[in-house]
Amino acid sequence: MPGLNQPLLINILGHAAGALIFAIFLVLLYSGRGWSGSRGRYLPGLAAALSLLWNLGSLIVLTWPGLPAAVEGVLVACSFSTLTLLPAVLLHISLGDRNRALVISGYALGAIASAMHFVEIRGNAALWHEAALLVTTIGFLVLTALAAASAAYSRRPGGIRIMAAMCLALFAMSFVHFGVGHANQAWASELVVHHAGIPLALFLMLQDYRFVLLDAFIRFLANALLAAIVTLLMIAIAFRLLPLERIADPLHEAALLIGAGLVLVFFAWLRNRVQAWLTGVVFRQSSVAGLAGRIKDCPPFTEEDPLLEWSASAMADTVRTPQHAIVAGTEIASTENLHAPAPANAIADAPSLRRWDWAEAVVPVRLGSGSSKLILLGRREGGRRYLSEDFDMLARAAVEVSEKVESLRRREMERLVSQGELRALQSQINPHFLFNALNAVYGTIPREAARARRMVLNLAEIFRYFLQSEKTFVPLAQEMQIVRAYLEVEQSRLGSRLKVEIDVDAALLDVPIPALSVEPLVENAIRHGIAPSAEPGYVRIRGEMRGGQMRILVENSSAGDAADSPGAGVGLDNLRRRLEICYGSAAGLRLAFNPGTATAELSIPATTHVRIVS
Amino acid sequence: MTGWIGVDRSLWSRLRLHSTMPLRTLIVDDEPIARQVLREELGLMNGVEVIGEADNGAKALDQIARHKPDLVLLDLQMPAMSGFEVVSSIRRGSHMPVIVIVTAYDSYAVQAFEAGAIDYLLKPVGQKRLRQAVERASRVSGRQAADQLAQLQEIAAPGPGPRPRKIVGKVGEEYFLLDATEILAFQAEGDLVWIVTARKKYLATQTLKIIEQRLGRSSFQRIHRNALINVDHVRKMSALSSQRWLITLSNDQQFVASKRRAHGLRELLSE
Repeated sequence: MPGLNQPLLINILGHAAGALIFAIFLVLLYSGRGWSGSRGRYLPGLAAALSLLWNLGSLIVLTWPGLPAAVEGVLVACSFSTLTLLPAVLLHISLGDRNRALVISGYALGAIASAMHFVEIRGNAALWHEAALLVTTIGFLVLTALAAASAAYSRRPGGIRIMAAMCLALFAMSFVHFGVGHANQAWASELVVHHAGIPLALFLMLQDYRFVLLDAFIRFLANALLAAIVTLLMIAIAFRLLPLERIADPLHEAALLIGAGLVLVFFAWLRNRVQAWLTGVVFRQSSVAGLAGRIKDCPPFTEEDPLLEWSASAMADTVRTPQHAIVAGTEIASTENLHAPAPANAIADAPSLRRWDWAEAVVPVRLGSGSSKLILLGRREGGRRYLSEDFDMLARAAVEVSEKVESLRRREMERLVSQGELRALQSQINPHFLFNALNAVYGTIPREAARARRMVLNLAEIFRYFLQSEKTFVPLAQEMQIVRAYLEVEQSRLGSRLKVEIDVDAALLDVPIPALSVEPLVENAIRHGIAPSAEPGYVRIRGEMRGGQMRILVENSSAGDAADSPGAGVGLDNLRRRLEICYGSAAGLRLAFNPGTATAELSIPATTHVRIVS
Repeated sequence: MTGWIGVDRSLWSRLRLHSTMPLRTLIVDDEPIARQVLREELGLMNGVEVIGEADNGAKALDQIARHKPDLVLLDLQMPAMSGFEVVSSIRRGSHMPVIVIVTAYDSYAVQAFEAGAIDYLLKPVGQKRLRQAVERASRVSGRQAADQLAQLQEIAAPGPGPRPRKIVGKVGEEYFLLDATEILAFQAEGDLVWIVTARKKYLATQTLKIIEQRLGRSSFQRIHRNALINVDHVRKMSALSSQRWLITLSNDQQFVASKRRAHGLRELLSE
């Protein structure tokens, strides 16, 4: 196959591949989800950008022989300058914040060599060029040796970084081979080593780092490499079998087309195999795909906590970690905005995470109504990292868990609502019978007995409200209407013993609240505050807005002392749980007993005033 | 009256002509005491004349054909022939009275409006509520209005042809039949669904999902889990980020749409 052994061709291919690799790397790095946390992205980005520039510069010079000499000189100088600055950046990455002196010397060395490359433009090329390459090679060899020695001396755990340093050395040494080389000259084919050195160095350093799209990057590289190999093979075979001069023959042309088609099919098949191999062997994810499905088909739970625990252990089992924990979202600061699973070190700043210092991944599970739980996962077996595909899979599983929890809560809400004392009527009384009967009573009462008729209307309204099963939320206005009807009925029962005051801010009337959330408080107030007492008493209802929270206060006179006021009836437990389901920790019910009065305070986030739905 | 039933304003002015004549009313209910309650109350109101009663559907149809009442107060649950069957039979006949449904239990409101009723009362009916319904009926009664209503029912009727463009909204105990074109948006809060029009907010009687299905392919677009907006009332769209759009409606209400949903919206807007 002609030309394939030419150093020029190899170099063009090498630089083109290099440019592509680093461009992809940069895109992944800055795509927003490739890197966990915003820290530490600049140096790898800089290294990749320098490598990209170097490859592009060399590519232009190699593929464009007709460039004016001056332009070519500048291009070559720029290209080589980026190349000499690159080891300094790599050294910086591998040393991190330690050994500032070495880092600075590295940059100084790079700057000197770059300067020499620019001087080279003014003639005397070979001498300056050789000198610059020598400075780079020897200088960085020394710096690398020093860095490795200092790491070994202080016994820092950084095996991978030392390896990175070695690669750096390899890369630097490769300069020696082309000490006389120049970008516009054809190099020997062993210089492939030189092209391989840089991505290798970057890789080894990034292993230790937080490049969560490493798996995607490797998959891309594998695909690109495979495509290159298949293409080369195809060209080689085509040239071997079909002499160029006979290609016009229709038979051969057809054979060529069919052959190309077959090769493409073969490539597709091979690519799938390689990707499957990467998934199974390299990323070891054979059991991963089924996680969301497993959670979807989980055994039926009737309560939330066992469901969460089961899901968390399923996740831990899938990613193979012995440790997991479930934590309320509020317990770890700075996770309010965490919407997708993330590495724990992305939120490591939160001191609250210290209690779970073994955690390596954090999976948020939204439980509706703004509250969330975090599933923490520990270190994986064999020290494997959590990669982007693992996080994707965990995210899908988390969505599944939230849906499960949501449907569980919906069922619980329905149960709680229908448990409300009077709603039990629903199962025992045919509503048509009830309201037709009330209508008959209404009709039997003479028109003149207006109060009696009004009482029947109120009762009908109250029963209708209790019996409506499909609504769990109502506007406050609707609840207040029932409260008024209820109090009117009680007033006609208790007469002058009950005084009622209602003062609800009109702006609150559209705020949605869980049905039957004020009424039980009022009923409680009557039952425990007014009914047992022989003295006249009062029920006072106030509704006001305070800092985005709607507060409903139900106050009643109470004859007894706090001790014998019932702390919370069954009805209030029911209400508490419904509030928790609907609003998480944002809503609350507080009871306060003072001598002579008892107050229940219901506090609900008022969403209706927030005009923006987000 | 904020345009309930969607009849244009010129019609209202024509209807005023009938206001001096008494509203001739038929009461249909199988329970004598229920009829008695209505008769008593109506007897005390001005401008209403009870012209007859019927205790089953067949008699009701017979009386309607014979007396041609302006208003029929109709019970839904009756033996042999339900209120709905009565309504569909009237429709085929020549005379079309105004129908107000009176029922014991609230589970058929939407069907009742779809069948062409103009109000929906729950037993026992208080004096105040009954008066409201009668006032509403007197505004709609009259031959021309009935024709218009009959046409509206054809539009609202489910089945082949155009999809229903009427939505039932509630304010307190009162029901309103809203025209889809006057609705700016549907907005869900928990399982409450608000119908937003330029002037007022109504409570929907159905879930957002069902409303979306009922509206079918129309100018309504789901832009969020919680919001369905009328594209015809969108005044402005601006990008908040690469993922989200801020949509401003003609009443200055703003919604944030996810990118996925906004995509469909943009397609609709550019049509």
